Amino acid sequence: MTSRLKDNMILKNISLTRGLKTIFSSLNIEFLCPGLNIIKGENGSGKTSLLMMISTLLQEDRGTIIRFGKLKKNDWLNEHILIKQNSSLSDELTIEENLKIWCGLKGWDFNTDKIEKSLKNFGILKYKNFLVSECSSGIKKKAELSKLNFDESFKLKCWLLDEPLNHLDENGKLFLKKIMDKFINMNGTILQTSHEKKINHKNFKIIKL
Amino acid sequence: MKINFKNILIALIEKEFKSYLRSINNFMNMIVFMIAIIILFPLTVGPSEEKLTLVSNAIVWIALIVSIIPTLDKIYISDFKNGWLEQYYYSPLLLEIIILIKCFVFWFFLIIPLTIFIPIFSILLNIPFLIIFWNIIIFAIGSLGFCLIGSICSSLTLGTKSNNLISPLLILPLAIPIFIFGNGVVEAVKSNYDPLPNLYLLITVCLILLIISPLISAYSIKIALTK
Amino acid sequence: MINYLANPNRFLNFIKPIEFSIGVFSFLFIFIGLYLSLFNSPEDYQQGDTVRIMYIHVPFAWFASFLYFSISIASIFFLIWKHPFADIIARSIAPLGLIFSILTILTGSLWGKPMWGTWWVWDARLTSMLILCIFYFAYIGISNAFPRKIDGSKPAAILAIVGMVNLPIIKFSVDWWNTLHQPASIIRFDGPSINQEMLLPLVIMLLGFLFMSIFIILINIKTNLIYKKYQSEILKLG
Repeated sequence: MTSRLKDNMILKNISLTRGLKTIFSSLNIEFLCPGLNIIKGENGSGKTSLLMMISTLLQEDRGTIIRFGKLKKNDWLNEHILIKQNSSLSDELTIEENLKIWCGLKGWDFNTDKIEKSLKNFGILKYKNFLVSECSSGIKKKAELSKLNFDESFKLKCWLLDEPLNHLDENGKLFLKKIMDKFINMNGTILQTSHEKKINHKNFKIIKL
Repeated sequence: MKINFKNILIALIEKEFKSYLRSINNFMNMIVFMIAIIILFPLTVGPSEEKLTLVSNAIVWIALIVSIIPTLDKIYISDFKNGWLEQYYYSPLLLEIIILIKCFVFWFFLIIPLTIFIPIFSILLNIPFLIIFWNIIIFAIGSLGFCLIGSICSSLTLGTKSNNLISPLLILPLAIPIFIFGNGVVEAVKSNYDPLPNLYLLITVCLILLIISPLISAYSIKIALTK
Repeated sequence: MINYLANPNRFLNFIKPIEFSIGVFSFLFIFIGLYLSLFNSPEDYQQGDTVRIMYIHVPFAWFASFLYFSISIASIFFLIWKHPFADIIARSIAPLGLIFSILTILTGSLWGKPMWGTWWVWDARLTSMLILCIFYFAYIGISNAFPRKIDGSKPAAILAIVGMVNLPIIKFSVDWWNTLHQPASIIRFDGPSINQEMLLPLVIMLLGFLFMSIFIILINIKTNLIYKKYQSEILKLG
C-alpha cells in the first residue's frame, strides 16, 4: 500500500499519429495518483486515443509513458481496466455469462453469487439471463460497468473509463460515483473522459486536451 | 494479485463453445451447402458411373472445402466487432495461446462433426471403403491445418470494408500444400503404394502451421486492434 | 545511403536528374534487344522461330518473381523499422509485378500452344506462377481493402512476407517435380547451357526490363507520394 502511494503516472513529450493524422505532438501530462482525473476536450481532440494509448492499444511514436514506476507491459495489462464507450459484450451470450467469462479471462475466480451481487448493485439483476442482443443500451452500459464492481477490480491500480456516464440513468450515475469514490479511497487512479460540467467528487484534477 | 490460469482456459472454452452452439445455423449452412454441391456435380458431369468414379473423391473434397471457407474467414469478425478480441488481448494468457485454443475449439466443434458426412456422401458417389477410411483421416488432420490458415487470413482482413471477398483468395493459395499431400495419400492408396510418406508430409505441414499461424494471427490481430 | 534516401524529399531530389536517363536507357536496351532477338539470333534446332518468345517471356517471369521478392524485402523493412517510405515502395511495385506475372502467363501459353500443343498445363512451374499472380491480386486487394487506405499497409506487408515462401517453390520446382517445363538453363552450377548467341539478346532484354521496371516504379512512387501528401493536406484542413 505504501509503495503504491509513491507511484505515479506521467506522460512525457508524447507524440501520437493514427494513420496520417497527428493527434498529439509533445504532450506532457502528470496525472493525479491516487485520484480522479477528468479528461476534457472537444470532439476529435484525442480523448479516446489518449486512453487507448495509456492502455497500450495504441503505440506512441515518441516520448515516454511512466505507468506506476515503469510497470512491465504484461503486469500493466493485469493492473488496469479499460471500459470503452461502445460495449464489449458478446451478443451471443447472456449478461451473466458475459461477466462470468470476462472474470475468467482475467484469471479471477468466477462464481454466480459474485456476479449476481454486482448486477444487483446496479439494479439489473432481473436481466441477467437476457441475451445481450436483446438489451437496451442503458442496460448494456450498466452490465459493462458492473465489471468495476468486483472485489478484484478494487485491488487494481487504474481504471480507464471512456464516457462512462453515457446512457446511464440517475441511479446508475449515483452508484457509479459511489464505487469510484470507494476505489479512490483505496488508493486507485481513475482516468475518465467526460462532457459533464458538474463534478461531485472531492479530489479531482481536470485535464484539458 | 493471484491469477488462476485454469479459470482462463475454462472461460475461454466455455465462451467459444457457447457462441458456436448459439450460432448453430452456421453449421447448418455448411451442411446445406455441402449437399448442394454434391447434388450439383452429378447433374453437371452426367450420371454415367465411369465419369463419376474418376472425380468422385474430388467432389467430396471440393464440397467440404468450399462449404468450410465462408465460415472460416469469419472466425474472428464477430469477436472483433463486439470487442471480445480486446478482452483476449488484456487477458494474462498470451494472445498466441488463446488463438491456438480458439482454432482448436473451432476445429473440434465445427469441423470434426463434418466427418460424419464423408461416409454418407462417399456412399452416394460409390467410393470404395478403403478410400473412405483414408479420406476421413486426411480430412481430420488437414482440416486442422486449414483452420490455422483460415485464422491467418481472417485476422489479416479484420476491419476491412464489409462484403469483400479477399480472404478466400488468400486461403486457397496458402492451403495448396495441404491439398497436394492429401491428394498424394489418396492417389497412393488407389495405386497400392505406401500412403505413409505423404501422410507424414501432411502432418509436418500442419505442425509447422501450428507454430507459425498463432504467431502471425496474434501479430495481425494486435495491428487490427489499434485501428 | 539507405538512411539518406529514406526521406521522401531527398529521394525525389536524388532521382530528378537520373530519372530521364533511366527512361532513355530502358528504351534503348529494349529496342536493341528486340532487334537482336527478332532478326539477329539463331533459330532453335527444335523449336524454330517460336523460341523468340523466350526473349520476352523469360524477362517477364524473372521480374515477376524478382519484384515480389523486392516487395517482401520492403515489407520486412516496413514492419521492423516502421519506415512509411518502405510501404510506399512496396505499394508502388505491386501493380507492375501483377502485370508482369499476367504477361508471363500469357506469353507462356502463346509459347506453349505450338510447342506442347496446349495453352495450359498444370505443371508445377506454371501453377506456381499462377499462384504468384493470385498473391499479387491478394496483396493489392488487401492493401486497398480498408476504409482508410493506410490501415492496409501492415496486413499487406505480412501477406507479402508469408507469400515469399512461394518464391523458392517457383525457382526450384523445376528440379523438384521434373515435368513438361524445360529445366532451368541459365542459372546452373555448371555454367549456362544456352547458346552464346541466344544469351546476348536475352541479357540485353533483361537489362532493358530492369531499367524499365525502375522507371515505372519511380513514376509510381512519385504518384503515391503526391497522393499521400494530398491526403494529409485534407486532414489538416478538415
